[in-house]
Amino acid sequence: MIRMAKPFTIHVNSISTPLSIEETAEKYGLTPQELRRVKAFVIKREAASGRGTSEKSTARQDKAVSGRKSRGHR
Amino acid sequence: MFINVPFDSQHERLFLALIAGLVALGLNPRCVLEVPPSTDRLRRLCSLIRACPFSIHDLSQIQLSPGPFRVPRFNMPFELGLAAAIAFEDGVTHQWRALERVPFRLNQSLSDIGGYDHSIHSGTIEGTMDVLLDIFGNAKSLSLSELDDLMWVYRRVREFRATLRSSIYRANAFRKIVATARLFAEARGIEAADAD
Repeated sequence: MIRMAKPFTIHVNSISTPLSIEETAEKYGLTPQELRRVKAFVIKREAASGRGTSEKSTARQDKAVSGRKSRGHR
Repeated sequence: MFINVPFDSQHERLFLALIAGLVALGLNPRCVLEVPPSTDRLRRLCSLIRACPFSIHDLSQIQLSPGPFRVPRFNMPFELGLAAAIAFEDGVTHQWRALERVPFRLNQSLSDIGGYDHSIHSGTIEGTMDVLLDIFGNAKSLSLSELDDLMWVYRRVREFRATLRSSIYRANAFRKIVATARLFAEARGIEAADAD
């Protein structure tokens, strides 16, 4: 049986209002060009939604990613 | 929210899931990838962890590394040690949580934290999202709070990742993925509001 972990004691001040995309870009240091590219992708993707996407195949691939050998470097 | 995970191609989806899930919940994932390599890297890493009220440490990759030196991977437990030490500092509010893939294994691999709860993601995307909802589900101001919402954002972030040519374990890829997740989380929030 898997023991459920207790939740963090969330301090109200620690969970602030989510950042806007402009605030996110500033906090993480996105260049204007990177931000434009990201926005363009999201707009294009949302415009295409409802016309049949690869979501089903993505979900299939995500069913399990466990049990694989590590090849990492950390 | 500081996230500490193995930088490993086999772990990539779980890394994306953590980013997508945290952003969907309205949190700001931070990572050592943001710290440029320099002699002062360790100090800057400590500063980054200290600046985050929470940290999550995935200790599920405990196998020996491939290559000429078959060594264990110390970076994740080392960063957890830093976070645990910071949590003990006076005047600092920092909470940390260890993640594992296999139940009870952490009790053997890192018995020093045996008295602390840890979470099991089972090596799956949904397991990772469930862990995030378990940990943060009691926060009142979550942006999105359903598993379906987190998975919705994750699947779109994965599609964006496919457009990146290089490894996602780079600073510029990390910040683009966070921004993409933020935009999709906003879109999901708008969609949910419209449906109500």
